[in-house]
Amino acid sequence: MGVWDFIYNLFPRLYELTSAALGGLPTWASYLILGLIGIVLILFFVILVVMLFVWFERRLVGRFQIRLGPNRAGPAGLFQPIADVIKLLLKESFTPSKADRWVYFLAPVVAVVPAFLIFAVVPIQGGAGGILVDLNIGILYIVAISTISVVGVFMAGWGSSNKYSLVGAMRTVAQMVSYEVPLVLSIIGVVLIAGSLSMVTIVKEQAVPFILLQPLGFLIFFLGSLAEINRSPFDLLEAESEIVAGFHTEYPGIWFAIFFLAEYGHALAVSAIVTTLFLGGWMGPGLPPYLWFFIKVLLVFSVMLWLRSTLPRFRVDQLMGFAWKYLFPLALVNIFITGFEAILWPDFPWPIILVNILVMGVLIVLWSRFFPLEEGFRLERYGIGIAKGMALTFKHLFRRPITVQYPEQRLTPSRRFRGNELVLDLGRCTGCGACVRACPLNIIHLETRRGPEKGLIVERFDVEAGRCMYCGLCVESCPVGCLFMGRSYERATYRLEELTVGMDRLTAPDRKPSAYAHPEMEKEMPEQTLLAPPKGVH
Amino acid sequence: MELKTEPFVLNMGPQHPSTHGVFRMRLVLDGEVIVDVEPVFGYLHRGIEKLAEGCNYAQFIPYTDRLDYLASMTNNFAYVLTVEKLAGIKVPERAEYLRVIMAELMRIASHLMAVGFLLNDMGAFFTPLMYMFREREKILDLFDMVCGQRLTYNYMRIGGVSHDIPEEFLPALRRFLSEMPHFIDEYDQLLAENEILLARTKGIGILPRELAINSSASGPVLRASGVNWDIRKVDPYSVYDRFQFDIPLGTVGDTYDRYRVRIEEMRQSVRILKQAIEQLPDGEIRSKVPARLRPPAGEAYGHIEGPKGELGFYIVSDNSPNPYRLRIRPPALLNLTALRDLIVGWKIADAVVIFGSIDICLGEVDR
Repeated sequence: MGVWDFIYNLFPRLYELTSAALGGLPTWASYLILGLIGIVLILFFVILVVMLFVWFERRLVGRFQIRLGPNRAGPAGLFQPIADVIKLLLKESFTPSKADRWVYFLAPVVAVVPAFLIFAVVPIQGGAGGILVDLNIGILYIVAISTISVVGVFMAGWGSSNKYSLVGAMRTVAQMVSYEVPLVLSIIGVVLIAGSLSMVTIVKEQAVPFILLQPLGFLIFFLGSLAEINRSPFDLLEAESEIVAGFHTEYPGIWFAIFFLAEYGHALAVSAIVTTLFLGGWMGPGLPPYLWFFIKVLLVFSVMLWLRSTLPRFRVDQLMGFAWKYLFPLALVNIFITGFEAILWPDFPWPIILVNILVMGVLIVLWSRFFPLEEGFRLERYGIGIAKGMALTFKHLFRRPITVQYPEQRLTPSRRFRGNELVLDLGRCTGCGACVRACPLNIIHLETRRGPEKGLIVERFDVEAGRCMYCGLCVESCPVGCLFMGRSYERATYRLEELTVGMDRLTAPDRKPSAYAHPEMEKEMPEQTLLAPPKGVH
Repeated sequence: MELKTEPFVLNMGPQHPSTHGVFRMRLVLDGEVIVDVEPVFGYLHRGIEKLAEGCNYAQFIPYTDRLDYLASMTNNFAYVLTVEKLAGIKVPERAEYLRVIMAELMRIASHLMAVGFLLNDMGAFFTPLMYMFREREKILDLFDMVCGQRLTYNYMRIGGVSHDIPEEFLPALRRFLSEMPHFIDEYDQLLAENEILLARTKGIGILPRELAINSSASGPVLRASGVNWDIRKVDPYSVYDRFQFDIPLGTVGDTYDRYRVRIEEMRQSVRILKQAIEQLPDGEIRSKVPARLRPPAGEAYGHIEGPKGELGFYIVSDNSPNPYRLRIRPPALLNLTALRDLIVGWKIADAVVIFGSIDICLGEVDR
């Protein structure tokens, strides 16, 4: 048994080693222990990968939005999810006074458990040890289990007695129940070709990935599962701009974290199911099978992020219309076509791929042209507009981010920048009080006394910087040019009395004056940082 | 069995992600459908009109920055225009051109924000908004270069502008103008044909022509309803009569038209800016005006076409250094008066989008 063989078949070898170690025990005991190990592994695996996914999502969406994304906690910001979890754990845990306490506290649990249960039948690798239980009704089990989380979401909406939560929960029930139908129907095509409900068998049957044999089924399944896990453009139940945070508006700290875990656990599960059903699961050349599996899962998840960072969301009735008027009939047609093909060409020769893709195109065009989404509105562009938008966001992935690493990388403001607090050249000040008269807020306090010869001596020159609005009128009005705007922009103070800036601080030598209303100083000022045009444009 | 249902009241705002500040809508809902709406505002009231009576004419300019803080330059512009009308002050030619350049840049920046936030309300998770922010950033860089601030510019003065442009301004502006049409095309590519956007905006929140006129709406909201009314054309102020530009008009008056009109107005602004740079004369930027201006007793109303609509100032002078009374005609507030007619009968999601398409700024609505 070589090292490569061990790495290549990691999970089956680990399984062999463990069962060999448990060889002396009675069968029921080793069965129990192996099951427990599997459960613990799945719990850790899911939580770990969810954290990784949260990080990945924030980084990738950041790049789509020409931002840098979180990159401070740990190498490349990898520890950011951990920091977030710690923050959530430390937050005060409160209950709304009118909440239905039992329903309120049970809801996150009901929502999160199915996300873990799904992974029992997801095959990471062929052979024993690659899957916890190879149920012969695997896919049916997944469909049954994943529906339970709807109950959790509805409990949350009802239990927290908040109107936003309730609206969100109502939307959820309608949405999830509707999308369940095309989702299940689109699986039937896969099951027809594979001839089995077992996840392992489905993967093994995919000499050609089913995405090619079942393009329409894949599309329906993918869109349906996006709606199932409330991802954009179907993220209505937590539509931030409409109903704040939807069903989890009233959940603080760790309870919110559990919902978050449920959501991302489901996203992970759906990516894994899409990989298993349509992308050939663990199969692939060269690399170890489980690595292939993870790569494919990550790919599916990236597509979800891509959609999320491009598309606006549907309205609730349009969402329903899309499920019942588009996906549902198309799923039925798909079953019919697949069944027809299964009778005519039982071993599915390769030209069928072309036929199926062609059929998919024709069906989409037909449906978009002849069936209105709502009264008077048809999807007449067959998704071309969406594809164009997605091409543009993809292009932005390679453009220069517009944000900077702030404390290390500072942008230089303009030469005339009206920055924090004033700078006073006391030697030139005549105490004429023009600045006091110019100030719209009356926050400059000037006291003078008559000098020994002629002119005035400034005794007090205070500025209430806490009220200052940096309009620069005082600097402009100074007839002798002894007053300057400051150049600094990052001063803060913790004490109220420090907000009144006295003469000693206004005249301090480390003050940096700006060239505002002092054109003679502009030459010596550093050049302003301008936002550079993105790469690849002009 | 008959189910008993009753409408319920949902307070949207003043703390809500998409009320653009502290606006509050008291929605009466039947399920998701809006039965009635009562707008509540005044949470950001600072009494700016009253404050004006305690300032002299020059001192009030920084306060106008704080009206519509997404379009401070045009607020400056409308105010100084009115004071000049009141006191009969001539403005040097170069200053007029600089004002137009700033106002048109501001219009682009304000429309970028309007379109970006509209899409954000629609649920496009910040991506279009970030792209809009990138372009707005370039405009803010230009403003920073000229007047030293990025939000509250305080740039215009009675009788001119406070500073001449630095020498690196024009090259930077030319570069911006050469890039901008390309980016507007990109936004179009991202959004204009997007099926979901069309489904969410076409035919939603129609403001009929008659109602638009009767509710004294102005700006893009009015023009989206097909009314050809742009103060730059119908009552040309400053040097706007020297430029060639078109007034983009909508046909239906729905949310899509309001979105479309703003995109097209950005193209027209680029056109005006290109001509303004060509014609920019040399010379003075500020005429001599006493520091404590005492306009003759009387009154004046000055208005300009701000990014959000007709922005007007009405000033009564009693020949003292301070205005006797100052009144602001905020375009956003008057555009909001049609809100109830627009959103009753639509769904919550539409209410947010329609409200976003009016493009208000609470600093201006509440003053």
